[in-house]
Amino acid sequence: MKVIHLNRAKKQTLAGNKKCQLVEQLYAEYGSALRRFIRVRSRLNEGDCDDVMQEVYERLLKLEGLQQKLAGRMDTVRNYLFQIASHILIDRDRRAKVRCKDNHISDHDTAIFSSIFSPERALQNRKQLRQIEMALAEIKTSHKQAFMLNRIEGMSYREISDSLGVSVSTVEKYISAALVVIRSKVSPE
Amino acid sequence: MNNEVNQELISQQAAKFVARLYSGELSPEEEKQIYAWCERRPEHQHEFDTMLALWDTSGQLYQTPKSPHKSPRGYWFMGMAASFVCALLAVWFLAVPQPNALYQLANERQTQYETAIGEISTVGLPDGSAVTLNTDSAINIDFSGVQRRIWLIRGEAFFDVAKDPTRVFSINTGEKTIRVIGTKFNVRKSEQTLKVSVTEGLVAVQPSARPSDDQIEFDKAETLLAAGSIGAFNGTSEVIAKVTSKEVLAHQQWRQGVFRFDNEPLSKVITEFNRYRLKKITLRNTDLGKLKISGVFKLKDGDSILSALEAALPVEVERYPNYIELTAKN
Repeated sequence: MKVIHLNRAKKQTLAGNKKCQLVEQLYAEYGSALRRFIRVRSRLNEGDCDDVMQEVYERLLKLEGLQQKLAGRMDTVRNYLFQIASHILIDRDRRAKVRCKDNHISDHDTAIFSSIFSPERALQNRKQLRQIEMALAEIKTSHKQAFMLNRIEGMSYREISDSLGVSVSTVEKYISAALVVIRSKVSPE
Repeated sequence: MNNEVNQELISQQAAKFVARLYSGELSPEEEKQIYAWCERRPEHQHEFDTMLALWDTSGQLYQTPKSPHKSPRGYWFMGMAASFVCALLAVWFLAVPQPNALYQLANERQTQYETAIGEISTVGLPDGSAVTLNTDSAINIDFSGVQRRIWLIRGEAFFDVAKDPTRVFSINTGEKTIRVIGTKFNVRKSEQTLKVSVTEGLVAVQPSARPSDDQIEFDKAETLLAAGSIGAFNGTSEVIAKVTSKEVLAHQQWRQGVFRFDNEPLSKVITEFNRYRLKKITLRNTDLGKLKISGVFKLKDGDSILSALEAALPVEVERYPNYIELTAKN
C-alpha cells in the first residue's frame, strides 16, 4: 500500500506563521527528547526518524487552537508530543504489516498468497485486549489507577502524581508493575 | 523453575524500560542501557518488543464508550484522539496512477488501502468490519460522516460488515453504489462489469448518481440481492443469478488462496492466474485457450501452477525474462 501525503504545501496564514513559531519553539525544547523517544520506540534509522519528526511537526501545524492546548505545563506539552508521535509510529507499524514490506514478491517473481494482516491477526488483537481487561482486575488498585490514567486518559506521569498524591518516580513504578502483571496474564502469540 | 524466575526478571526489566521510555525523560545514558540490554540476549529484545506491543494495545482499552463527563481533560484527550483520527485520514491519498472520476472524490478524510499484485490482505475497519482485498485492488474509506463510506477503486474485495442499523455501509464502485447494514459479500470490479456475490444478508445496489439517504429503504432499491445470489452489472444490463451457496462461496475462494476450476477453458484460467502474477503467462497460439481444464490450485504454490498445467495439458512452458509462454506440445 502506497501513501502519498496531502497538504504538504499548505498555505500559511498569518495565524499559521504564529503557529509555526510556536511549533519551532516546541521543537527547540523537546526535539532531542522526541527524537530519542522515536528512536528507542521503533528502532528507526536517522532518515526514518526525520520523517516521523516531520510528520509530528505537520500534524501540530494542522491542529486548531494549538496555543491553548500547549499552554499547559511542560510535562503536559511533552506528553502531548509523545502521544502524537506514538500514534504515528503505531500507524507506521500497522502499515508495514499490511504491506508485508519488501517481501510480498519473492525472488521467483511468483504470486504469493500472503495474509499478513489476516482475520486471525485481528482476532488475536481483540483476544489480547480482552486478556488485558481481565488482567486489570488482578492489579493493585493504585497501580491500576496510574496505568489507566496514562493509557486511557492520556495523562502525563506528573499529572498522575498530582492526582494520586505520590511522587513521579512512584507513578513510573506503579505503571511498570501494572505492565508486569498484564504481561503475565497475556498468552504469548 | 529457574527459567520462570528468569522470565519474571526479564519481564520486570522490560516493563521498567517501557515505563521509563514513556515518561518522556529518558536520558541518553538510559537509551544506551536499553540498547545494551536488548542486545545482550534475544529474549531481552523479544520481551521489550512484547511489552511495547502490550502498551500499544492497552491504549485501545475502553475506546468505544465515551466517558460521560466532559472534564477539560476528557475533552482535551478526546480532541486529541479526534485530531489523531482526522490527521490519520487526512494524510492518506490515492496512489492510483490512472485518471479516474473517483479520484476527484478523494478528500482529506479518506484513507486508502491497496494491495500489490499477488498480495491478499485483510484490513480491520474502525467499526469492526473487515475487508479482504484481493490481488491488485484498492479501496478508500471514509467513516467520518453519518454513513460508513467505501470506494472500490479497482479490483476485488470481500466485505464482512459489522451490523449497525444506524449507519449505512455504502460501497461506491463508480457507476453503482452498494448499500448494506450488516452482511457478508464479495465485490469484483473489472473494466466492464461489476460482480456482487452475497454470502449473507441483504444487499441493495443502485446507481451512484442517485442521492444516498442515510437510511436504506429496501423496498425502493433498484436491485436487491439476497444471500445466495450473484449480480453482474455493466453499463446497460444486469443479470441476477440465483445460485447455490456453494457457488457463491466458489466466487470467494480467493480469500483462502485457492482456485477451483471445473472444466474451464485455459484462456479463462490463465486470465485468472495473471491477476496474481507479475510475470504474466501468455499463449503462443489462441487455439490453446480452448483446452479445458479442471482442478484446484493454490496461489502460494507459485510456479508449481505451471508444472500442473504442463502435466495436465498438451502444453509446454517456456520461460522468458519478462513473461512465460505456453506452447503446444509436439
